[in-house]
Amino acid sequence: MIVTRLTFRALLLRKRSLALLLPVASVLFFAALAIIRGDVTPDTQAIIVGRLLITTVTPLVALVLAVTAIGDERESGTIVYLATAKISRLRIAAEKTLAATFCTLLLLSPALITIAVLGSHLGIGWDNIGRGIAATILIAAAYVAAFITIGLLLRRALVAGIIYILVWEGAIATIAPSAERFSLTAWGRAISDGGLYGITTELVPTLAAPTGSISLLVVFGLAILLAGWRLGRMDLP
Amino acid sequence: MSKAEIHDVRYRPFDGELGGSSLRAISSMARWSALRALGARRPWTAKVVPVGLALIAMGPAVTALGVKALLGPDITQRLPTDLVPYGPYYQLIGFAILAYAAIVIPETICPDRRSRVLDLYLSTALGPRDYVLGKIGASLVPLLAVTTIPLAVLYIGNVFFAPHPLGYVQANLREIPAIIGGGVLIALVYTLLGLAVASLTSRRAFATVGFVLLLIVSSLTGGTLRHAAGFGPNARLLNLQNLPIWLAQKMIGGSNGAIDKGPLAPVVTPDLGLLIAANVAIIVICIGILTLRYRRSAA
Repeated sequence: MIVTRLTFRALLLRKRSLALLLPVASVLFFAALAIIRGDVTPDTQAIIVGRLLITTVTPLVALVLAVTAIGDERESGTIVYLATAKISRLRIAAEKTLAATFCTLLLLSPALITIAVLGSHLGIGWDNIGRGIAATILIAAAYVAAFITIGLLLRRALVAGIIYILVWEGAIATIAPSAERFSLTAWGRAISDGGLYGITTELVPTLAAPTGSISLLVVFGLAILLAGWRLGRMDLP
Repeated sequence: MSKAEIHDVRYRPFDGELGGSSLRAISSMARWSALRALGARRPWTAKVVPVGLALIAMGPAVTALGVKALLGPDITQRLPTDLVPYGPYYQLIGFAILAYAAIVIPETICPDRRSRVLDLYLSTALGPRDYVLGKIGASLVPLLAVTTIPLAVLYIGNVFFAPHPLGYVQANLREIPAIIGGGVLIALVYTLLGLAVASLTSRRAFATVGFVLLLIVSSLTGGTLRHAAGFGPNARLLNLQNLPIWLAQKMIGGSNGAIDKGPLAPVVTPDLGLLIAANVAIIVICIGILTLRYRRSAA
């Protein structure tokens, strides 16, 4: 697990990763505000977990960490040393993905604790709290895997990721009803919000939670395979 | 075959006519920085993103006009003349404007810091203020392509599809300066915000992500304070992403017609006076940050 350990150190032992706690703190702020004001409703839970954590914060944190995990290695040329080590390319891609996912979840952990507190305050039951946490974990893993693959395919992966998050997830998938079938965040929200009662119907995607879970796992698996394949065929500096 | 020969290579002072004004230097800096940000003299992959986002911003206008063209005059005359109203148009393309600004603006300013050529620039006819003005021009003009041109195309198209073109212009005369003014306002606020964020780092990627995070987190803060915490519409003054857009919409005026759901649905915005004050405050703060970051000693 040397690649995991190296990636873990490269991602967490730097100031820029701490800057990512700023968007994570917004989840804590809004949850605290809702609890203090005493107006925690299923809609509040859906907005904070579905719209804020799953749709906005998690993709951005995952994007930065995933692009850094592979981009810094490419930029500094150390990817050559990785590639010459006696480790299969698929394993390198998988370990990079796992390390970046773990780092993403570590940075998101204050938000995950917050949504558990918010859920217990609302009394939605541990199954729904678990769904919110599971959705965040799955969406983080899927995004990290996808962005690591994009980082291996494109030199400007960050730009591609920003465009994907803003234009596809932020605009097209929210305007065109059928586009949500191809939206990672909609799959995540289907898991987190699907079990809540008394929620505004517009906040919940039309997809079923199992569909969302399977789709995210498929994206995660395929992205790792594609990253491994690409790593074995790309020209290294 | 040329008969030219090189006898000596050495430096010599410039003995041509001096321009005497920094205006040419600023416009030259703005022009070349803008072209670089748009991908000129770089591989086609660098051009795809700005061009693609500009096309996305044009999409609703082209679609609305295309529908009218395909349906023919009989059906078109039964449709509302403004199939896509001008004010809410900004809501539709808000994410394209944000993405465009996030990607193009850091490109104009970060590489200079990263490759440490700032001192080189400041040793020429450019002063720090000229440099900043040039970079503002370089970011502002391309951004106008996504904030002004789509609405201008929509307006011109509506004039041509109206049963009485001159009557349409007379009835919608105030929209012309409002479309131009609104587009310039959005482009100016986004430009200054983007440059202020980008001036804090030499890494383009950090500037892009920082800009997006700043605008999205502020947007979420404003929206959540309004909806989840039950504050009034003035809580939305924290929404840096939409402040210039709402002011531009108020400049254009008009209504959303029968649309009360979806992306064109009207939004309860802060009071006009506060909106103006907030936009002015953003402009002043960003100019202050840029001035501080590009003092001669800091540069």
